[in-house]
Amino acid sequence: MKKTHAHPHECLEGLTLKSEWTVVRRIERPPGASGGHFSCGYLVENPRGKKGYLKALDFYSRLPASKDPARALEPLLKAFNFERDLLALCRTRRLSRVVMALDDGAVTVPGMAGPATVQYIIFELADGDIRSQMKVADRLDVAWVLRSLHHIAVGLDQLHRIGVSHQDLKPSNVLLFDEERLSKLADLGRASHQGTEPPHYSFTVPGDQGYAPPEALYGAPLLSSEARRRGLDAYHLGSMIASLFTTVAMTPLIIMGLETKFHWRRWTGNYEDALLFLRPAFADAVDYVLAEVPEEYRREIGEALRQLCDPDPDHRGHPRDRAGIGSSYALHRYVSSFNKLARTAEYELTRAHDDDS
Amino acid sequence: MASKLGSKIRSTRLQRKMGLRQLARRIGKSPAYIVELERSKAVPGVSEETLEAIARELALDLDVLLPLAAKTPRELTPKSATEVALYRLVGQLPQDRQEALKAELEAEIAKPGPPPPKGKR
Repeated sequence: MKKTHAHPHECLEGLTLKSEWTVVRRIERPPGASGGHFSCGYLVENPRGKKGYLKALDFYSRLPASKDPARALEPLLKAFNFERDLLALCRTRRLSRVVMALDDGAVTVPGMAGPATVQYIIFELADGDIRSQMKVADRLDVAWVLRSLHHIAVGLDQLHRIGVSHQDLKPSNVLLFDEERLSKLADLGRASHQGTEPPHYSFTVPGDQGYAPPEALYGAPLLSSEARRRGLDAYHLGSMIASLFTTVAMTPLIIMGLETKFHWRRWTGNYEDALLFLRPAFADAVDYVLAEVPEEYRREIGEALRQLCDPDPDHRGHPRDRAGIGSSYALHRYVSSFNKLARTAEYELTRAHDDDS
Repeated sequence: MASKLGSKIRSTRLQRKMGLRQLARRIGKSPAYIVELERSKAVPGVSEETLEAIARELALDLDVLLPLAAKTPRELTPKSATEVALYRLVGQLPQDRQEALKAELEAEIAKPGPPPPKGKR
């Protein structure tokens, strides 16, 4: 009975897929996760006991209701194939800080009326996303925050090195593995790949608007696409600093400090003028974040935050990289800096633990 | 610039070396709520119960926080036209006269004597 009312992608429990994956049970989507209309998730397991997360996508069951199925299907398939190809590329290049796709394919659900083929991708199974850790901690676990920042920066840097920009980095897209000690980037649904036109090419804000940099919200003239994408990732990395220390992203922290008339929804002036009020609000937001950062890490975290989230995309990134001939938004210096800070914090934690015992 | 209420809460919290998460947990709110309370330019909507909890955790005087949140304590809701008129009149006095009047009233109330009849405060 259930199957006649449900969509095919909601009925995979108990099925055996190719490569001998068995669909164990459905996993509820965490609150705030995207892509809910056409996809749902399952726990899967193979005969060797390896577990995975299956993302099932429903493209076909709604087609009979569409006036022009071919047109309706086109963007969905384009987006799916684009993400699948990117995931295959990440897997081939063995990116250690990007959630890996273990398998993909299609399965036909038996006993359904109408089209019942479901496309799926199986990912390595995470313990959860970074938000769970951000919220539960009564006191900030600085070593964990800094190590997470390091992993996130490595993940973005790995993607940039193969010509991919993530474009939608936010806490729900950072998944935790290895008893929550290892962070990896997930969801390449809004990513772009150098030299190919992504399905969301024309979007001013490809990812979640709540995390968009101010220039995107205030309608600044866009930089060349590639620079814009790298600049967006840089901003998002800085915003993760704000999120991890305060649980609030950088853009809302800036906007909260503005008078209503300067809110981007009301602003009708140009971006150059908007920078006149965005700069002090940004400086104030940085101070706010830094007050939550332990003093011994404040200087370096402050520098990274100011450089990565500068409201002016022309001033964003490390000064040495902006002055050079390479990418202004190169992340390798932040990778090193976060690694060094994380090591110090981990050392301090171990020392404190040894002193206690 | 944050609201006066937000600035007061934040400066006191930092003085007491209390993290966002710690205060949030203690008053049963999310850290993001505390951020909004402390950062917003406009005074955010906040209940008297929440302000009470914040005042307790930060050892602040609730009577200082309530006016900053543009709130009147529940027990001070006027019960008669006289109380409303008194409030208006006192509000028109300069600060030093208000202080003097307050001292006079406190002395008056502290005087031993029969309690005022019920319903006539």
